[in-house]
Amino acid sequence: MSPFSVTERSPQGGSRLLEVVGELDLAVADQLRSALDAIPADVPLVVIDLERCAFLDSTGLAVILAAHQELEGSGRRLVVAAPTRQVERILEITGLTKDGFVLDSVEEALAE
Amino acid sequence: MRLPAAAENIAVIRTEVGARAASLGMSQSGILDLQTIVSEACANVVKYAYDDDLQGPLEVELHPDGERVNLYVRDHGSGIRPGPSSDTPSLKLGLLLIGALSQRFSLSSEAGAGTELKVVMALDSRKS
Repeated sequence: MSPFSVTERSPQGGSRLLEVVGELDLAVADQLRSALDAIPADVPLVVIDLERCAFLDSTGLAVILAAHQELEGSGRRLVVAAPTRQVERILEITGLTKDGFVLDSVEEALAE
Repeated sequence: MRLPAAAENIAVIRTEVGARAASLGMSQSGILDLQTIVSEACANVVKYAYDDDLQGPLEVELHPDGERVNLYVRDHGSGIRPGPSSDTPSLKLGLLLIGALSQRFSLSSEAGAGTELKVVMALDSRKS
């Protein structure tokens, strides 16, 4: 099991990419929250890369949804990309795989 | 297993429960669902069972029952009480996930005597 980490990158067009590695649960959700809070308010698009996120629970999901709500409220976008099997199941159950919130790849997400 | 109700122990419990379920012949998809359920249940204990960051005991058991498994998550805290802490988005999501991923679940709580969650799941997810 990989230790949990969140790495921020600035790929293109002023967007921000947050690469989540490991299991996102109650113990580490604050790390993602801190990374999201550190993103400048003028960044138009935030992509959370879940390709290496092995696990997601409701605490982690609540952090993602709170950030999504905040960005959408200010006319910006937050999407998640490349969910693993368990993560995609959670997103499906909670009805979040509709409306373009979940993309299959980071490339697709950055093209938003 | 019995561990202090601390957030850093939840991943340990997920791993142990996954290994136990695999030894019982549970399907891989079932194991992932079971790990999600136990993680949600344990997180609720960590967040709500004990006052003032006391790391009281968190007990988890997994027992085979024919073509099913019974998961028990137990604490010895203050019991479920109505209030602001019982109305958070995360708690609602957690219970939604437990309900969606299990065949059935039940919660029993007694003021001052703790709470027990029982979850029933099929060993073969195709039969759930």
